Amino acid sequence: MTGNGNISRDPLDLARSQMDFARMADDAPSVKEVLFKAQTIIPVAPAKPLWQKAAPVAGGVLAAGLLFVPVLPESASLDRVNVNFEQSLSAADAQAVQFAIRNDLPSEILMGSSFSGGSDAPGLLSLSFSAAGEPRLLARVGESVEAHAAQHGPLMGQRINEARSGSRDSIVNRALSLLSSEEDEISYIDPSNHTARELLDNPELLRLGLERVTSQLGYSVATVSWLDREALPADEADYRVIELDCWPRPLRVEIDAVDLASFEHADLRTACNAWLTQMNLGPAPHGLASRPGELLPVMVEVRDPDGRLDRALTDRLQALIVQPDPDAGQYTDTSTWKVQSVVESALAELMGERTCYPSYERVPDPAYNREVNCFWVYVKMSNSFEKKSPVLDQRTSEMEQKINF
Amino acid sequence: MVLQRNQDNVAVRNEQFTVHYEEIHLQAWRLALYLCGRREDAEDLLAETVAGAIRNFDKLRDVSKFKGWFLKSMRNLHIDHIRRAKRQMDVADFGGDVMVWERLGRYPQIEGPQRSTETRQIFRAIDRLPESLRTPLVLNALEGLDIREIGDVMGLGQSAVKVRIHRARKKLMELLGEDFEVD
Repeated sequence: MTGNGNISRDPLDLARSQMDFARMADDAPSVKEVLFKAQTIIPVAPAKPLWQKAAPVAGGVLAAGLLFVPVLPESASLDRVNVNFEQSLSAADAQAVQFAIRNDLPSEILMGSSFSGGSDAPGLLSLSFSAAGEPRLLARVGESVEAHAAQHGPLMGQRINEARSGSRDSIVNRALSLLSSEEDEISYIDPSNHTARELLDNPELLRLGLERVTSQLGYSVATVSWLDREALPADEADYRVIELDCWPRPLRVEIDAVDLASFEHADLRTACNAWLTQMNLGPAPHGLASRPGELLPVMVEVRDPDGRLDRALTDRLQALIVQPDPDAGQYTDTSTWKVQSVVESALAELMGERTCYPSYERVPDPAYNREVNCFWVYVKMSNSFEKKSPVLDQRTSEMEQKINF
Repeated sequence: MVLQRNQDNVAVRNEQFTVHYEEIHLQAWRLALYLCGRREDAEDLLAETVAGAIRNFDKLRDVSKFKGWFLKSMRNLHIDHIRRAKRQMDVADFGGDVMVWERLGRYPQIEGPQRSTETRQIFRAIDRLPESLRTPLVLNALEGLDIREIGDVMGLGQSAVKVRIHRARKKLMELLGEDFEVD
């Protein structure tokens, strides 16, 4: 208690004491008014006996149902479309077609591919797409495939509808269910922020795949876990532990064995790495670079040294970060997904030598039950043109470590 | 007979809902005001939340959590509205006068003439907090919700709420300078 007589210097106490609760209560609509208004939005109780309105409603529903019969989905289930190319393609063409189609795909759809030829020999390309209960998306897939592959001859498409319970499964769970079945092996994971998060939450997909790989060499996997650091080379003290450079995070795999020799470790590591690369989960840069829309949104706010919002710089920085054209230059380092590096590249471009201090915050989205919805970046500009102090650099790197998953 | 029973059930449900709702009516109204910032919008939001809550009241298993459940529905509905509005905004308008995320939560009339300069300064500082920190702080310090209730409203664990309130207080003090102190 200091300062203004009896008023506490705790600003929150002060704010609370100044809030006019009585007046707000007087201004409030009555409970009756609110309930009445709610009833006007959506009738909350039947205004007349059900049987009186049941007939017209049922008639309406039936008529509407009949109207939409031809376009109703065959089942709310996991839909798959297989597309087999009738003409053989060279490996380079097949890769180009795959890449073009994959870039156009909505993130809800998984794409698997197989190519019967070799790196030099031409072969037949077949693609498989899957999505849960999304017949319209699959129609879009058809359009996309036809648009990109028209020059490579006719296609032969086959649509399979599989009844699966829980059609609202996540992408990874769907991939997992495909991987679990013997006949249809998923061979490619399309990277996106969403997929990354699902994989991080549920490494079972990787465990199952790696289990399959190691079992071919006569071993089984004991544990699979994510690493918070870079993957290290073989540990001579314990060859059972294999650390793999994997997307979206390095992976630690422990083999279920009493002991392993170095050559066994090397064989297993090579096989696991090959499988991860095949699944597009290896350390190489991923397709996200051309899909900026799938990155977590980054919202920026640039303020001048006096704390005023600089609208022009904010707009320019935002435009640099959300780069709609993949060929126009990317600031999105998608292989590491460091928002910091994205922002700092853009800031370096925008500000030159001028000093500015970005701070980062992850904004959660409880409505969608996601841990992170977007990154909020607050950039404070300085008057000076000096380089950053070592203390600030250290803080930034600590912040990077905290934020980067 | 069955129809009569259904109607009776609906009437009982509405009555139960009204009993619970009456207890939190004023708090819900203040949260609606805080979220919307305008009386008219707050009335719409409140009515819409009530309509949805009545429909889903049967799904609420533990009525002791009614307050958190109701306030959470209101906040989610508001976020949906914001998101819809954001989608309708042109890209060029995005950096305009109203940033979408800035609109998540304001008490109306905080700039009114009845406020002292000091109070205006405090409310302005609260306004400058990011939404993820501001909302738990406001709900706790100004609205008097306990940590569990705030967790229910925001879909967060209790420890996460505590951390956010702590950070919000710290940030608030940074914004206000040394003239104030927070417990």
